[in-house]
Amino acid sequence: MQREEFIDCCGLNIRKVNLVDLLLSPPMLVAYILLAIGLIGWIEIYHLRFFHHFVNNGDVIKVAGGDPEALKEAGYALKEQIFGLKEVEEVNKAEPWGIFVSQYTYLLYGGSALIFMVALAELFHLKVAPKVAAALMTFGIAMALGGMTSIASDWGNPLNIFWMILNPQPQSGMWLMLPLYSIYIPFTFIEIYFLITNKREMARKFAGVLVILGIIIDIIEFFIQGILFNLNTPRHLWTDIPLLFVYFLLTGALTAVGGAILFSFLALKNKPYFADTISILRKAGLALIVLVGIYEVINLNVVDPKWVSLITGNSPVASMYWTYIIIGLVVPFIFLLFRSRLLNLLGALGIIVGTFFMRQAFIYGGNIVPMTERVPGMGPQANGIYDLAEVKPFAYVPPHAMEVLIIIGCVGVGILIYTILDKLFAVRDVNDHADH
Amino acid sequence: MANYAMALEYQNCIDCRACEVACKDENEVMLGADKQRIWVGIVEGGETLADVFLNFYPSQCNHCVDAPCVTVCPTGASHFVEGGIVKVDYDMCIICKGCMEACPYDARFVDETRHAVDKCTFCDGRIQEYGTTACSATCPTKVRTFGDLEDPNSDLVKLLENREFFVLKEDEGTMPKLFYLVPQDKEYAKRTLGDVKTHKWSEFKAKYQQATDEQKSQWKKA
Repeated sequence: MQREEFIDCCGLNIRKVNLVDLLLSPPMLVAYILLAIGLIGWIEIYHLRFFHHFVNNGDVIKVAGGDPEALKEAGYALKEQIFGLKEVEEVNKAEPWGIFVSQYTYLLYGGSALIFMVALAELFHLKVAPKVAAALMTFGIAMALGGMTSIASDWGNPLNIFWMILNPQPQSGMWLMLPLYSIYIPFTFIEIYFLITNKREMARKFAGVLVILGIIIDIIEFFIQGILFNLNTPRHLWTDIPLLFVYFLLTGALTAVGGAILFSFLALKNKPYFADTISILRKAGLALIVLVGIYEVINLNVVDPKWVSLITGNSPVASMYWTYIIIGLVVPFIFLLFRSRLLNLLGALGIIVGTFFMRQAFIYGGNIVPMTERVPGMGPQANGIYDLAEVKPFAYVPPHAMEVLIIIGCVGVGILIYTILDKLFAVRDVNDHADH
Repeated sequence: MANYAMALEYQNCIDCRACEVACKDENEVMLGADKQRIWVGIVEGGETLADVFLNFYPSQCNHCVDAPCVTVCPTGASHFVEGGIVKVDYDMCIICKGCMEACPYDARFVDETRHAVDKCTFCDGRIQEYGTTACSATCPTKVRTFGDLEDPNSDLVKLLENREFFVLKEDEGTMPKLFYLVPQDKEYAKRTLGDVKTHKWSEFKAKYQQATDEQKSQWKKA
């Protein structure tokens, strides 16, 4: 077997990797395929936002009687807006946040919770923690960055983001994300740096402080995510769940356990500590399923009954919710009870799929009670006497094909980031012999 | 300092949509799109010829005293201007749609011609010159009465002092400034208003005044 060579830089051993090996490794090829799928969606959405024809009354007045080309343009835009609006319009009033935000919460909460759990495992000196910490934290930050790509895709005009720096809005949960991520992401990379550095003495000196700081920053992160959703006063699903940030943390941790089990099967299977890792993750998964299950029972009893009734039945979100309960909680609970590797892997896959449906049910569920229901007891309002028969007691708009393509692309971003970091810094192997 | 609001005699609405046309003309709203700055919501009820009804609820942004859309905006694009009008600075909007989620009245939309979230502005450029909004000036049945809540001689305050009214989604605590006047036919009102709470201005005035005074420091110069 060829001996690997490393370059030492700032205490880091950077693996000398052949560029072809780096760019054409199997995980990178998977990432490229997913990114290519995402690219179709990104191009389409960019075109939709910036190159479609839209016209207002002012434009019509300006072109009237003038340039025939401008007239043609206005005519085309009117035709598109009047006859094709449903296809052209990207954002629906009934459901401003959709699958991009679902994917963001899914990947970001899962990734952050994974980093949080690794820090906890380090704090409590779990035997396998030092061996797997670097790999799992890198996996977690790659997930988080994939999620952030999704939210960046959701913003219609991200070029104006500099106003968040020039005009701070500390009362806004969304603004608080800016200072949070400015600290959180570099801090996580510093944690990973100290885990994989060859300056062992320095790493040891800072390890305890970093772990505790990491846990505090993670809790603050989930707390701010809770504020972000809590501020949406009319969406009672988001405001009624007690201690929303704890719910996010627990459900994120469940996604993280599912992801970590799958990751272990794919990347750590030949390691001597694989069995111990799976055993710990299996127990953590069982405990989290029980805690999340208890939370769901509480939620059903405290959330506004209008939301509960639509989420558990009588709306398209009900299928997402029950898929999550069955595939994400019940089936994995049964499978994780056994020590069978195959059942554990299937349980993890159930958690990964089920918790994605949970995020969908949460985001789409928040919007499910129509905001057009303005006068209590009168039901939702139609917007035209010819629409009366069309009025539904719920608000649900399925995601566009391009949106689905983009969220697939976001998974590709995560895989790409992880693979590059793993190839260069050998995060899976570097601490194979490390102990507390 | 003025505090603008609107009373709606919604029983007068005939769903002619002249207000929507006037709004699109005045504010250069994207054509072809339904239900943007202002709209008419429709609710039907009753089962027999004796009790069937069709209510039109002309609506728009409620310019809430405690507007959640302003609170959640991460860039400060959503803000209050003089008169307590809630506005959007298009050059600052990132279209995160947080304000659309926070608004209980579905009053915001993405205006593709401006690449920003937009909403009713109470025609703030127009009211300095003409004293009212395009929608209220156009309405053939005088549904809308626009005015200043702090002027006791305004038509708006006089109307509110003499009539009962209700506001939309009062429980959300946003203190909306669209006041829907309860139909004068008590029986009809009772049958067609669902579980809505009705109020008198004497009950509301102090509460609104106090909340407005607390918010005034946030109002920017128009």
